[in-house]
Amino acid sequence: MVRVAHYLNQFFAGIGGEDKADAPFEERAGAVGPGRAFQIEFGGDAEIVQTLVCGDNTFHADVDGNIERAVRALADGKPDLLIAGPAFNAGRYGLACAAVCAAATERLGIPSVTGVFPEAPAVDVYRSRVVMLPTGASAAGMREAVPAMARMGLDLAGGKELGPAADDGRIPMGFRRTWVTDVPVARRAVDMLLAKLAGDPFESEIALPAGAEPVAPAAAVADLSNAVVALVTEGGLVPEGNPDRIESSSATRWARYPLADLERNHEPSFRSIHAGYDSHWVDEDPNRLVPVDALRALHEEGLVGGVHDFYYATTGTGTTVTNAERMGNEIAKQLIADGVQAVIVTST
Amino acid sequence: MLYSPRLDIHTVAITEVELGEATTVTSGRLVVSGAEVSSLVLEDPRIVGVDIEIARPGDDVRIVHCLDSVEPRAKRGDERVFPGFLGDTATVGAGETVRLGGIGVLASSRYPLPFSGLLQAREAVVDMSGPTAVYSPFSQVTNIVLVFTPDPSIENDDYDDAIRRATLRVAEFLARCALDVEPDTTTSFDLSSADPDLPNVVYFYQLQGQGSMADTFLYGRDIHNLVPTLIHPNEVMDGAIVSGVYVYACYKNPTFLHQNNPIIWELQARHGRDLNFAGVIINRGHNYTQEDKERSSHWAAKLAAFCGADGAILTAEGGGNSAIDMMLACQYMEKAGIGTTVVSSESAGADGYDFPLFYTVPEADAIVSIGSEDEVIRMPAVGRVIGGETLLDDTMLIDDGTPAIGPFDLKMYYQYCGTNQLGANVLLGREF
Repeated sequence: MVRVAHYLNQFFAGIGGEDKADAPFEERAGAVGPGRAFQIEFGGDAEIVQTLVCGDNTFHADVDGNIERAVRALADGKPDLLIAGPAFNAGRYGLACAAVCAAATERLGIPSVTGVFPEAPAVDVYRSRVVMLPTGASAAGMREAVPAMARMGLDLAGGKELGPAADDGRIPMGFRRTWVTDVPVARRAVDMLLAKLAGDPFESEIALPAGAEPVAPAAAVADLSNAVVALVTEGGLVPEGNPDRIESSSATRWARYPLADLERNHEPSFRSIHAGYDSHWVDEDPNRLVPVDALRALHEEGLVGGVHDFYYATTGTGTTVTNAERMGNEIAKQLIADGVQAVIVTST
Repeated sequence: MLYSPRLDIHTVAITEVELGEATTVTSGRLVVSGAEVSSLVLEDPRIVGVDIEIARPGDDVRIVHCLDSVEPRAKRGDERVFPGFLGDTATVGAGETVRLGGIGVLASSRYPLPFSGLLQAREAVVDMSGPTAVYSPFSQVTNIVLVFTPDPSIENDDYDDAIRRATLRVAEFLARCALDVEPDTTTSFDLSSADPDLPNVVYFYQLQGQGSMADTFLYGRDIHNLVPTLIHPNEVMDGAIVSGVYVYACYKNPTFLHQNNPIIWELQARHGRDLNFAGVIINRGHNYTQEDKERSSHWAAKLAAFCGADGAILTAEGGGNSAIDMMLACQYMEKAGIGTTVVSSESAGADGYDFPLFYTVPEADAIVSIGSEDEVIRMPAVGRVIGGETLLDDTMLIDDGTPAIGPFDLKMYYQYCGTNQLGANVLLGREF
């Protein structure tokens, strides 16, 4: 018998509508309101042992406190599963359901599921952390939501791994995984093409992004002759031995190294560990990638005011956008803190 | 097609492989003579030793340092397969070809000298059984593994040429032993007729040609200066395209999969029924400059139009850079009124949260996924390893000296044909 906890707001617990939204957090034994429909759906497989209730205003007036209360109640009740809602398109209720689910799963290891309208605010905030099933916008969708949530919940309580969102009937959590299929790629490719040529509906297996965010170029440097210029590269140039263990592909790390060391590079003590281009020209002469010789000359001519003492390096091949953005921000912060006004970024 | 020779492919299905005294094929049983294969390999003094190992589907075996895999094929008559390597560069693709079905000759070796940079033969792993067998299509065939030992005094490129030629020689030799064996099936490839009521479909077949250890050979030559050109699918069946790409195992297209290109087989099978197979356009991927990429992709779209294409299927080899060449070809074909479907691997990061494509064009609205190269897979301990005791060093994830017997974590990058873009594997990226 699976022991189930259920979370409800004041409305679905039968306390009242918006005028009762300041109802306090409370715990009741057994099934309440929609919990009875879940209980019927579970049959003899599961039993709702506790129902947590909180008014929507109360919850959001003290989110941390109410999550703490819910966690304590669940720690005492030791359910095998938490079901929250369904909350439909009720914004604050959906957020509360998802917050309680996230806490139960992340802090207590209790599997959880909630049901919300796909455009509800809880989806944006919690989609990557909480198992959510799509519901209608209003309580009229209760009849469809309850059996789907009950089934998903029992699967999770039984230790079943999540499958693809479409197979599970879930709201996608925002990540992709590799899955085994039995329909050959070539057949899928030809079938998709023939459907497209015939004007029949087809579904791309990878949807295009809504549109990449354009990166606005920085304003031109007003007076280069007074600016300190730094060199940054994604070409993977590191000291021999790669002391910072920068990856040769799919990088997560960057580092900076003194230009003075690079300029003393009589014996080849710097080399590129980049796995995405033929780097032997760089190993022969690192100035081809990090043009410190040219930059020094420009400095002597007075064209640039100063040369920053370090160059910055990472590897730009197979790097995820998330890591690239993070590393770019980290490097930029360091450069700004060091008083650099202009950067030459060399790419391979 | 205006030019469409007929090719009969006779398949001799091999269900049992073992080592023995003389090389013979009888009743689905292939006996491989170690002595005969060794002497064929050691004709080339650049190779000083070869061990021959058999890895069967279901064996508790891991194969490491995998290089090319070649399906045994031979021509009936005077012609040779793998033109430009075994024979002269006369056009292949007509007549009769015998193939041994269900087996591959798989090369495995370290190189004489250390590598650096992009251009190196990286680790490539096949697990023949267990939960990780799904990450290589070569867990499904019996591999006759040739574990080569180089002459330590020669250059890597020189050695690479030696093992490529040796692997091709052995593959042809094995099939020659079955030239007179009654085939189990015969498939005739004849594309001379076209049904005007069916759509004309071309195949845009992008090959990797990036330099040493990342080259594909067309009639024995690298493709660095190739403009997109037409090739008949039958030529590919007879070994006109040979692989020398070892940079990242997951998206390599070994010779075996050129010979058995799943896209070509599917288009052949549906020719005259669902579509007219109207041509194969080969293109060099990894063009160095945007200008070269634009030039090639415009050229490919033009050739597709010459073929009267209504639609095109596009595949590539390798990641990142080469996706640009393929996506631009998709864009210019679509602009020319040719509908496209693109086959692509995914790179959404180890956790899968990033956007999965490196480069896209708005016209690429029909994409078939083959899984993510960024995924990290737990490789279990196995009973036996063929090819080497430790994994090859790479700063990405593998530490030098990791025992190949396992367990260890391995990125999809190192799974042999894990995300093969010709569609040989059974993986697919899905939204979770």
